[in-house]
Amino acid sequence: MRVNVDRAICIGSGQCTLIAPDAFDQDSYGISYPLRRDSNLSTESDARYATSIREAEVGCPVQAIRVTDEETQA
Amino acid sequence: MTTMATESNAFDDMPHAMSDELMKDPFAGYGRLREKAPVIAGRYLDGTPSWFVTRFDDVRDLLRDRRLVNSPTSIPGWNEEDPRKKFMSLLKIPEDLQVYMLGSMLDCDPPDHTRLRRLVLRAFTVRRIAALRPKVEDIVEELLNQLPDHRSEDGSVDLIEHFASPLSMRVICDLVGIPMEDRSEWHVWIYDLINMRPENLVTSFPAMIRSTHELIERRRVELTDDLLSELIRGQQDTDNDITDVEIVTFVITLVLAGHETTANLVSNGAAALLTHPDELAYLRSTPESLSSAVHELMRWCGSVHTSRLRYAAEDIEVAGTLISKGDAVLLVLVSANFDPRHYHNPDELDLARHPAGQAEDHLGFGHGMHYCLGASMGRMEAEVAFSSLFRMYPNIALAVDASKLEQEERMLLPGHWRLAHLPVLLKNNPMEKM
Repeated sequence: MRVNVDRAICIGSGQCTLIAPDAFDQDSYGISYPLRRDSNLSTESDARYATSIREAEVGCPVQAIRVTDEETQA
Repeated sequence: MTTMATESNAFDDMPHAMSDELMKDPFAGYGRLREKAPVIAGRYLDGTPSWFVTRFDDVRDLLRDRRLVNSPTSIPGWNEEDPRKKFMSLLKIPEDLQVYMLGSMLDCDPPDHTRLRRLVLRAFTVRRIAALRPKVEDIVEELLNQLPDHRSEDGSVDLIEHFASPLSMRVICDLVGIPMEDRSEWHVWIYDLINMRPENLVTSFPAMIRSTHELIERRRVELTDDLLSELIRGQQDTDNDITDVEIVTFVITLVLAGHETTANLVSNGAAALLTHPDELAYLRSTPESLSSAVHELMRWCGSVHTSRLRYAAEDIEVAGTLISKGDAVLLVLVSANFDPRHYHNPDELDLARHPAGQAEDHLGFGHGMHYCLGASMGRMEAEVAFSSLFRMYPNIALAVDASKLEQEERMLLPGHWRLAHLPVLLKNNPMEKM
C-alpha cells in the first residue's frame, strides 16, 4: 500500500495525525507527511494500520491524502 | 433544474437569516428548510439573495469545493464593487479600515489564503497544542477555585463571565501576545464585533486597529516567543511578505475566533451536559470518552451554525439546482449536523456517537481549506474545562429552569449560537488542594 500527502494543498488541520498517529506526523511548519510511504501489509497490526490510514484519508478536510493498494517494491 | 430568479421580489417570501424563525430556533428553522429541499433560495444579513444549502452530504462537498470562493473578487472576470463593502458600511466600518476585515484569512482564497494560513499554522499543530495543555489546566483550575467568590446574593455564579469567557480569552491572548493590561478592552471590542452593533463599532473597530499597530511597534523592539513576535520576525524573511496591516488583521481574526467560539462551546456544552444528566453520568463514568464527547457537543451545540457567504466562481449544479456564476451561497452547518439522512436519531445528544480513531463526522469545525485553524486548541480547552468542572463541582446544577435559560439568555445572532449568561449553583466548595 502506498500513502501520499499532497503537501501543496495540506492545510495542517492535524486530522490525520489525530486519527492515525502511527502513520502521519506534522513537520515544524504544521504540514503533514506520512511516516511510512510504502508498506506491504501482512499481519493483523498491519490491517489496523491500513484501516487508520483509510480513515485519515476520509477525514482529511482538503483530500490531500491519497492511498493506493498497489504492490510496492522496496 | 431551477435557476435563481434575478428579480429581487422573487425572494420576498424567502427565508431570511435574520428572521426570528431562523435565529430563535435555528435547529427547527433550518431543519424545516432541509426537509423541504437541499437547496433553498433565501436572504442573508443585509438581504443579499443567497442559496441556502441544507443537507450533510452537499454541505460537506461544497465546503471543500474550490468552485466556491470566499471573496467575490476571486471570481474570474469580476469587475463590480465588492458586495461585502456594502455590509461593512452598514456596520459603520470606515472605507479605509475595511481591509482589516476583508483581508482576513477567512475572507480570502488561494494563493493569499494559503500564504496567510501557513504563516500561523505552526502555532496550532497537534504537538504544540498538546504542549499547551498543562498551562490550560492551570488556568482552568485557578478560575474554578475562584468561582465561589463570584456567587451573587442568590448563590448562583455566571459560568460564562467567570469561567468560559476568561478561560478562552486568557489562552488565546497568551498565545497571540496581547498584554494583560489590554485584555479588558479587547473583551469589549470582540463583543462589539460579534454583536455587529454599528453604534459601538464606529469607535471600537478603529480603536482595536490603532491599539494593535501600537502593540506591533512596542513588540518589534523586544521580541518574545508569542505568535505576534513570530509574525514580526517573519517580516524579515523575504519569502514572507507579510505587512503590518496583515499582522493586525491576523491578531483581530485570531482573538475573535479563538475567544468567542471556544467560550461558546464551553458554555453551550456545559448547559447541554447539565440538562442531560444521563449523558453527564456516562461521561463521568468513562473519562476516556471525553474527546469523543466534545465532538458530539460540537455537533449538537457548537457555536457556529453557518459558513460565511461564499460565491460561485462558475456555474455549479447542486442537487438539481443550478447555482449561477456570481451567486451567493450559504452552507448551513446546523441543518447538516442534524440531517437524518446522515445520522441516526440526530436530535439526540449521544456522547458515544463519535468513536476514537475515526474521521471527524460532523461539520462543527467546517471542512475544506477553511477548516477551523484552532480546532485542536478549542477541543483541548473544552476537554480540560469539562473534566475539571465536573470533577471539582460534582453537584453543580443550573440555577434556572432549562427552558427559562433558553428563553432569557439565548442571544439572537445569525449563524452564532451563544448564551449571554449561564447561571449555575455550585452546591459545594471546590476540593481542597492537598
